[in-house]
Amino acid sequence: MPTVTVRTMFELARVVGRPSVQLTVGAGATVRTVLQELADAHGGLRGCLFDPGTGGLLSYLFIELNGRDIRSLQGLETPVGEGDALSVLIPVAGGAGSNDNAP
Amino acid sequence: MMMGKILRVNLTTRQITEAPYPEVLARQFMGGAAAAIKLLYDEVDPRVDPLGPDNKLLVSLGFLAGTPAPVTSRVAFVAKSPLSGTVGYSNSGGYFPNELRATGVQAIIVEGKAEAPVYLWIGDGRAEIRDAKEYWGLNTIDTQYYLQQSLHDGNIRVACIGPAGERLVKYAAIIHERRAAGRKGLGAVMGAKNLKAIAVRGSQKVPLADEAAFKEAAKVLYAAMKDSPVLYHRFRNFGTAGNVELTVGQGDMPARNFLEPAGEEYLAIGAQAGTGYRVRHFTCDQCPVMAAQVRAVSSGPYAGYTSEGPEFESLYSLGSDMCIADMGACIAMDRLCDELGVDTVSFGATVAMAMELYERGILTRKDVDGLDLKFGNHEAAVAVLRKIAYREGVGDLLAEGSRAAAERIGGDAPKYAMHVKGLEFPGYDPRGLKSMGLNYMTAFTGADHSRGHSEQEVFGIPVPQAVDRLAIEGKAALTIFNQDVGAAVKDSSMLCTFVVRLALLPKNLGPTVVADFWRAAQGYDVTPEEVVRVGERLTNVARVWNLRAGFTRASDTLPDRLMTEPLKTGASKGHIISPADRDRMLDEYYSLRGWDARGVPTPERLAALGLAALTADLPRP
Repeated sequence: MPTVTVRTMFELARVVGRPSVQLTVGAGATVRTVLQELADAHGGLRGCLFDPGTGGLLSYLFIELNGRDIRSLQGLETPVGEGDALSVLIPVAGGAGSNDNAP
Repeated sequence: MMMGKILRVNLTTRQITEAPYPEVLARQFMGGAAAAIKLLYDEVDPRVDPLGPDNKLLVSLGFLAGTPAPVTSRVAFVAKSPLSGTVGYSNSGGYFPNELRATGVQAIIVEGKAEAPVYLWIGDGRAEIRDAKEYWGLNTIDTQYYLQQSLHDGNIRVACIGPAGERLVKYAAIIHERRAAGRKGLGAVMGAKNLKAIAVRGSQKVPLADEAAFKEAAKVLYAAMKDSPVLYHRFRNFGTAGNVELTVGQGDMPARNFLEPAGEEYLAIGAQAGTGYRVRHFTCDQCPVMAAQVRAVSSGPYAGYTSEGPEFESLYSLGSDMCIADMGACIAMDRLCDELGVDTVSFGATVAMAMELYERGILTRKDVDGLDLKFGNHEAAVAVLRKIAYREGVGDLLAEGSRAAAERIGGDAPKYAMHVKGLEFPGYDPRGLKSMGLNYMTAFTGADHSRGHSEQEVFGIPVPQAVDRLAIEGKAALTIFNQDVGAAVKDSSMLCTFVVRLALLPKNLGPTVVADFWRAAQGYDVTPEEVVRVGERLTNVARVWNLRAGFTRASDTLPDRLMTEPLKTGASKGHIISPADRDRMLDEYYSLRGWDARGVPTPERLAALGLAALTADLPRP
């Protein structure tokens, strides 16, 4: 049962209650399952992460696992392990824009 | 061609002449900073004393200044930098640039040195050198106010220096309105020339070759801006301060003179915290975004201070780099830097070095005028700021910048000076951002985030592709992309960097938008590929000038701390750019650029860029 540190910012941190939180997830967990479990634990978070229309991540989110853009890994299906750090970032002065945060 | 004229102002002889804009500067460099740097190349010996009369100050507008295009009221200031000795270039946006263009002027070449303080007045069809004795000594806010009052016109726009520029502080800024062409010490170049200010007021309309096509090009730009998911929705509300939260999350915001990354305690100077201080938004001329955050302090020791900022880089330099997690102190120092005409970044980084030297015992309390200059002491930092601007006590030493001050202190001190080629770092630690590191090493101005900013690593913009910010692989090509596209779109055409980053880069639209505007404004075709070529041309011209100034491959490096001391905490923990990483990235970078292993452009590459004439200036093999 790996424990993952999730760092958030802005409205995400407001909903979670603090900028970083530790989450214990099941074996075989992926970035997607971490985010879903976080959203399950914090009611208002789902709308801050996922597009209600497509179910995919909101286009401006920039997600890093251990400092690496998940799009350069396996995207939302990237496996997570013990001690991993997941950062859910909102680059307001940079703008990910037309990225590939596909469902 | 529809470019405005070039004014040549000789302060020694008090002669002013004007000439049409040279066609080659327009065709090869498209105006803006690129043209100014080519003028520097042609007219300034790289070995001159930057504070002597032979250095020249180039003031140059992009071809879109003064037109109906949005987000293009920006101006480039260029000279040999007294801080670094490299090409010195800084740009700023606001109202001064469009007002200057409305006088019919596209660029100004200021040369020589006035016998006594003067200011340059430029109105419709006339320019004069006028006495400025009554303004010498005033801060930048008062200089602007009293010039407007004396000339009975509140709409006059003024670019000026404060006490720091007058006293040749090596990182003195040029200020217009509340905006700074802050970096590289170009305010000291004005001060050395006894040039207090440039005041402008014009009413001329900028001619366009094809007004209908220009409207179409503007529509594309506006549409891209509207389409951005963050530009109006988030950037307007938070401004660049949003980078605090981002880089704290990435572990890349430097703290304690790069000894550690900024932790969550620095969210106290982040965008979210900043909204509690915001009293209004502000904007450059013809910008619908209004992202500037005017912040005021209403309680505590800094109550009463108001600042148009601080921007992210200043929150790092005035905040985390000196271990000051106090928004009120950051706002106060931001304001004081602007008033005194001091670059916030080099000031904070230089004092952060002094704080480390003080804590290590290399500087004693006596050396720093009795101040307790430990990390986090914002009262001491404010006191040192005033001393620097007026070159009093330890301020006279720290006014030289981190490299020169450390060399003067001697011993181990230079190990703690965080700079490349003498320019102090901005707020992104390259240990977790490898392309940014390569950019710092190779940018023609030194450790400069405004050249070749690694948008992909910092912001996750997946153009030309998503990258792993911690990897070395592929970073040479990425850095060249960012430097050349950035130079063409931001330094030559002088579009606002934030609109380029938030609205154009995610769709790789920058060169296309510039090409469309160029065709409509100037009346002849250029392809997006040729626009990018302008950026490459600029990079090569600046490189050859720097080589002639004495810089070599050995200058393309990082401080030892970044190459030997891994980050201890945060999301970039454990990372460095080792000397082997540096050498590997540089080899690949030089090769892709068509430079030899010394970092010298090859004659073949220069010829391909239409710069064969520069070959005669290359160092011998």
